[in-house]
Amino acid sequence: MEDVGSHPVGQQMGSFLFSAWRVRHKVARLLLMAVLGSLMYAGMAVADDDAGRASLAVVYPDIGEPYRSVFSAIIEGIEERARGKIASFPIVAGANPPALSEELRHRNVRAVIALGRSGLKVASGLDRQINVVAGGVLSVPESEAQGMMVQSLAPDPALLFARLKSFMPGAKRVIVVYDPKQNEWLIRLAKDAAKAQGLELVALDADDLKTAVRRYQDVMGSMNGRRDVLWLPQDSTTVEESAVLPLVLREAWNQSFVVFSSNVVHVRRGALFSLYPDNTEMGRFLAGAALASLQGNGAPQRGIQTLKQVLTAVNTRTAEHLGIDLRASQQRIHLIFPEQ
Amino acid sequence: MTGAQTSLPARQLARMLKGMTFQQQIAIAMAVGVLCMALFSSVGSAWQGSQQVRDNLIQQSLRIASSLANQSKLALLSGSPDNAAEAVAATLAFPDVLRVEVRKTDGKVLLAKGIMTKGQSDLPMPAQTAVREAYLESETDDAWRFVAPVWTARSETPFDVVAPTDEFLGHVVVVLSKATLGRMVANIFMVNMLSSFFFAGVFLIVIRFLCARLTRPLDMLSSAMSRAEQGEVQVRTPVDGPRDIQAMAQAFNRMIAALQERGEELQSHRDHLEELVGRRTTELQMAKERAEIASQAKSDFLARMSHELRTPLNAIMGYAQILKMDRTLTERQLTCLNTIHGSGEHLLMLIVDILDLSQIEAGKTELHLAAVDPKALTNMLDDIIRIKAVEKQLTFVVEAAQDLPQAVMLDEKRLRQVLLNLLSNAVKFTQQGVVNLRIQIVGREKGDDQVRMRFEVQDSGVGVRPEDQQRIFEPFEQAGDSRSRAAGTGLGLAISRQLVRLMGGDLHVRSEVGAGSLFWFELTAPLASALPHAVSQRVDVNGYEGPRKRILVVDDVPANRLMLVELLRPLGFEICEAIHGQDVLDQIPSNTPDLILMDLAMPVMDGLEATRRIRAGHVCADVPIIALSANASRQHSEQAMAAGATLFMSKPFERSELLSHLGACLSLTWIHAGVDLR
Repeated sequence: MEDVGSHPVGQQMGSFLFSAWRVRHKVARLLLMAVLGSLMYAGMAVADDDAGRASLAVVYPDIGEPYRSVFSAIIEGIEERARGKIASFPIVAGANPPALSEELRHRNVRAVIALGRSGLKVASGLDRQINVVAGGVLSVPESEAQGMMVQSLAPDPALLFARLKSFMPGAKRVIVVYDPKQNEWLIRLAKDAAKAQGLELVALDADDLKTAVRRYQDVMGSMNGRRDVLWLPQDSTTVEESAVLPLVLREAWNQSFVVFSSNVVHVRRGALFSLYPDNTEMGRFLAGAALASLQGNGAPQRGIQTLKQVLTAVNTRTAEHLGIDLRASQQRIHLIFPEQ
Repeated sequence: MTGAQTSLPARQLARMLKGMTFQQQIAIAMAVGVLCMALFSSVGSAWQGSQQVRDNLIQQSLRIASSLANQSKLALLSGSPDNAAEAVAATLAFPDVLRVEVRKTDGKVLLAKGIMTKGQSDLPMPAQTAVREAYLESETDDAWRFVAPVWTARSETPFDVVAPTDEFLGHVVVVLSKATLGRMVANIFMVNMLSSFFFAGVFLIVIRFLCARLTRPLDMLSSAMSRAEQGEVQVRTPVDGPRDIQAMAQAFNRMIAALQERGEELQSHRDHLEELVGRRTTELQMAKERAEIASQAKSDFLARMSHELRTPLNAIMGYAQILKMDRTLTERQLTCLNTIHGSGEHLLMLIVDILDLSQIEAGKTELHLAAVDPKALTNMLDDIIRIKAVEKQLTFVVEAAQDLPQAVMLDEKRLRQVLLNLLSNAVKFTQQGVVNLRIQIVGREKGDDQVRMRFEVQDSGVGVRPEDQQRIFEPFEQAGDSRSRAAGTGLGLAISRQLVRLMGGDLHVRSEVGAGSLFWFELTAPLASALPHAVSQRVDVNGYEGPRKRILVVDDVPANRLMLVELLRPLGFEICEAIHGQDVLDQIPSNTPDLILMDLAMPVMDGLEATRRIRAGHVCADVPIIALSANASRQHSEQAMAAGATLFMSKPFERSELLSHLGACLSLTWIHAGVDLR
């Protein structure tokens, strides 16, 4: 990792953002796995039930790297939890095999774990009798999330704010610019979480990027580095990585305010910290949720859920610039940027 | 008309090419080809190069516009030109970038820098489309105008359930000058042109060198050909250059060598022919000379032999005749004398015939035409032959046509010789029956000035076999086998035929064995005026009237002198003798003769010289001189006459002939006594 602090932030960020998704480095793959894994809920306990194992299936996208490793890690976790008694159905991108329902019925599958957009799409067309647990997606429109349990890849705001507090105890206000279409549900949760941590959440909605930029410009003009913190959610509308992210990070560096993100990639580019998914753990959680739905002791909680199976990534350079002592927080850190 | 117009340049070109050498034509063809190739290749490669440069420039410009679009996102998002000022400045720093504009979604300019180009400043912005990439929006002669739409870039992941939508933010416009393109195209064209022409030049020089190499042997061959045409013999052209030309040169050399060889052969043949002709001519000349010498030698031999034979014969016959005049001889003595005389005559005839034939064959015989009375000739023949016919108890009939002319121009001696010969043969080969002589006119020519006469001698003798009828005309041939041969030389018919031919006719024979023969010939002779009737001399002379005449007998052979003395003295002549010419000249002044009988061949001074001296002298210059010679040739006769002789007589001679001449020269009147000369 480059020494972010020793160069003008604008130049560094520009080149960094430009090639963010094209990195073929092994670290990139690890990061992705970490992001997804961090979205899993590690603490969910699912009782063992052999009766449900034979009727569990995983429907996942059959795509290339780096995503294949992510899904492989999730499935690994699922299989660990389900003890191998599981049918896997890779779905080629864009396909919607009509014979899948028949196949699932034939195998007496009563619960399906749908991974990724393709998996979710196939699962949404399945028989209503089959319980569906979705995972490996960022957010789902609330109308779709009503019929099933959706495990989002978005880290739980509570965990985020807890980390924030531990790294920066003096933080008072968390500012976030979001697209209501994507993250309305999350902001609702975040508001509660902020309150719990004694933080003020300033959530600014923006329907498009221009509005978002305007919001950022407005906010950044009045940021107080000692107490104000900027949160970058996983929002494709407001967090534009080629122009807006560099602008934000550059201003943060210049004005010395803390930026934390729900996306681990942003840590590498200069955000202070992020939480990323523990994929295997998330798999276990999804398997547990699916198994629970088969046990008949009540359907799993329907609707979208934040990710609680997360790991922590920090940028020591940024921390150093901001004068934050990460060790003092006593938090377990899984990934450190810049790479040593 | 059109055809003539279109073919005119072709004709001009053909005429122009005809006047050029092979090398010039190749050089021009190559030069045109190479220059065209250089021009087209340089234009083509310049065009190709300019296309590549243009494509590269466009691609580069598109990347510049895309890059600027990326960097203009923030400015467009924030509506703040400052956020793009740096990127715009950096873009303007690229070469050929004339103007950069950042425009918002509504087409309004957010930021514009650089110079305005003609006709591009107010171009309306394209409507917002689905275009994501930079593109060449318009192009003028001087500049390109690239437009790159500015979009937010959101990458899609499998984790997004709802695909993120990109936002259109505006455009960037980059205007680039084509100056660099123009410059580069010009440079490429120039470099291509220069390099093409340079290599074309090098190529032409090489071609010229090769052409010269190619045509040098051709030139040499052509030069050698023209030299050969002008007649030079030792022409060879060096065998050099390409293989085809070498083959031509070798063929030419071989041809010239063959021609030369043939020429030399011809020359050699010509020289050889001339030499051969010369040699043959020389040989022929020598052969001719040898033949002439031989002929002369033969003539001389014959003449000499004739002389040598005649001389003793003269004495023999003379004495025989003298003895026969003795009236006291017995019958037996007279018979012996007759035999002697007959044998002498036969021998003489033989000598005369041989001499005649040789002269005829040598072409030395000439005709002496004179007026001849055919009837007188007939009578004379009658006189001679009738005696022989009567001796054999044959009937001799002479049939002379009544219309025979008085005189014709003929060689009487030769005609008489032929007829006597034929008649003698007829008598000789006829044992009984008739011998007939016919003379008749068969035609007249040239307005009766010439007369054609036919002479026939017919007998009832043994005849001639058909196979012998041509042979009998050959010398020394007689018909029949040797046992039946009659006496004779066998030269008579040969001589007769030659003489008849000499006179313009030919001798023919028609014969049947056992039934007799007919010999005939025809002669054409001009008519002559009538002759005075000749007085026939009678031979039975025993004296003359008038005073005695003195005759000088000149001969170196005593027997001949004595024979003449014996012959003439009984007739009343006074005889003096001289033994050679000088003796004659010595005697004449003191003892003038009335007539001289002069032998020609004598020692000290011969008869010819003596005759000439006498004629040249003052004494006896007009005395009659009868030349006598055993050489009976015409040459001798002429020589004698030229020297001044009055008459020429060949020895031996008949007494009657001598007396006849004496009578004529001395104007004597002979006294005859009936002497039987048989």
